[in-house]
Amino acid sequence: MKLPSFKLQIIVIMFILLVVSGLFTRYFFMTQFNEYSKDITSLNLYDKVHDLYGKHKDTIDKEEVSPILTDINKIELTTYLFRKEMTLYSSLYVVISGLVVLIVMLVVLTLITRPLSRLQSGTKLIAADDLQTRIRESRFSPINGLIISFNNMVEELASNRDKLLQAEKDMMWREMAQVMAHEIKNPLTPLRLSAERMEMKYWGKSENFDKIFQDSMEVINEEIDNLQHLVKEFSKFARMPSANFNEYDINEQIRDIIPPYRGEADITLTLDFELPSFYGDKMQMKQVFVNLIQNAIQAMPARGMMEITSKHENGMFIFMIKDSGGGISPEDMERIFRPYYTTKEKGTGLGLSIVKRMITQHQGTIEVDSKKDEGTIFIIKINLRKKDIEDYNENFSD
Amino acid sequence: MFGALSKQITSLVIAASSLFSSHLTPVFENCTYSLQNDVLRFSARITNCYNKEIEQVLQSGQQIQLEFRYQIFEQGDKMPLHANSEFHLLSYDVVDKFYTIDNTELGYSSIFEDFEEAKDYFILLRDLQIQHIDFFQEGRQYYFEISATLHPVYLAEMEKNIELMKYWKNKSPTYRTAPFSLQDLES
Repeated sequence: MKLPSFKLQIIVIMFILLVVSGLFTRYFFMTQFNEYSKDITSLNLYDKVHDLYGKHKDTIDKEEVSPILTDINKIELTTYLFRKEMTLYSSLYVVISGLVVLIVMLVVLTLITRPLSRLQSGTKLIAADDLQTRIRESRFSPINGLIISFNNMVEELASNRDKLLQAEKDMMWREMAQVMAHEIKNPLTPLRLSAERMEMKYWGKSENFDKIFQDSMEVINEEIDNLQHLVKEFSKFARMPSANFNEYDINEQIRDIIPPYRGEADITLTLDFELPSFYGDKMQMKQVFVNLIQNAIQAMPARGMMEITSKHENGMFIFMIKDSGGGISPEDMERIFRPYYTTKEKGTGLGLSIVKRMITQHQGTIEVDSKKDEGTIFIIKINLRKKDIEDYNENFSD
Repeated sequence: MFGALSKQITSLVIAASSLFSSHLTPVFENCTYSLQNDVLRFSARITNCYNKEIEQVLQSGQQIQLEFRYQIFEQGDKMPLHANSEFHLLSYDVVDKFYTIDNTELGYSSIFEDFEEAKDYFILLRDLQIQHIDFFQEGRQYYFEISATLHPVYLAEMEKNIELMKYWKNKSPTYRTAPFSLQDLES
């Protein structure tokens, strides 16, 4: 059973308390007054004076008694009328004061609950990463101090986030510069050595110059190829094109990707035949699967087992790529999605970083689980719907 | 505790309903007007005009004034051609326990020992002389209006006014005749 709103609960409780206390107050005063009224009536002053006059008619002048009896009647009359009016007005008092307090409470509760609702909406927006949100201040609200503190906190959060983003960017650039420097430095040494060797043999008129020239040129060309590969991968990462979403059969795509790799691993496909149409960028998803399959194959130098699974649960597409390789160490697990991080001798460290970026573009997640000497499993979860595409285009159109 | 509470709620409801029920709407009844000895006369009585509070005031020994104001209009005019008032004054003799009612329209007082009889007589208008026949002109249409007002009772030593009209919802009962001509009166 759904409880009524907090505001309504407070109003009902306060109203009941107010009416009950009003009734008891009224009961107390009316009882007192009725007692007083009864006391006056029970004195029977009128009858006593009248009887006295009756007994001493001859000695007491009527004109002397008449004003006294009139005054007694006046007291009884005013007491009677006052009691009547009190009965009426005290009831009116309970009703009117109840209404007044209700109105005041409504105003006060509105002053409290409206800013609280704004705070609630504000926290939701902040949870959705909108740090531009500010709550409108309510000068008369008792919780205005809380609103001011909240706004200051958001201001501080926004400022810290900007600083953090800047720091992350700086760190990325530093890391990238380090990797690039390292990757460029590595081929430079053999290039220089080969060039020096050729020069030395050329000026020394060496007999086997032709052989040395051929060997050195092989080294030079190989290192130039390495440098070209590095530049190509870097360029690909930097200029990832914007996604082009379409509806297609992703099981079919997986089946088409697999054949070239069958010679390098025993691949099992466990695909859900009732999988609905997938909304996504076909090219990007191909690259995701290719990268993960290549990674799995590289992790299994001695032809291992690979299982690729697709399923659809609670509106979510789930893809799993499992290998029987040597696994990933816990310290590497934390870094494998970072750009330029690699454990391979000739890797650029951009493959998994690109995969993660593409999955993020599909508003999905990628997780990895690995056990040493047992293998690794990558789990991709994507829940992109047609109606999300518009949002996507707004956010990722750059 | 719950007994007291339920009693209070009941009395609250009664009190709230008394807001509407204890106040009266008096009306003129048995209204007749006719020409007698060349004078237009009016007779009527006011009904639904007493409640417990008014009766208490009547029996207190204070003098109560009931004013009958009558106005004659020519049909279509808003200004009265003639206006006058007559008074019924009721006072209770607290020593000898009788009621005296002075009727200014009759010019004499009546004495009652019975309260109910005094009440009936107090609100009774008998042959109130509205106007002489000479006042009315041939070929014109007239009507007259009569209203009754209870004057406040002032308790001198207490410096307190008892507004009796509030028991009549501050509204005077009023009777207005249908338009008539001199010829109608004479026929």
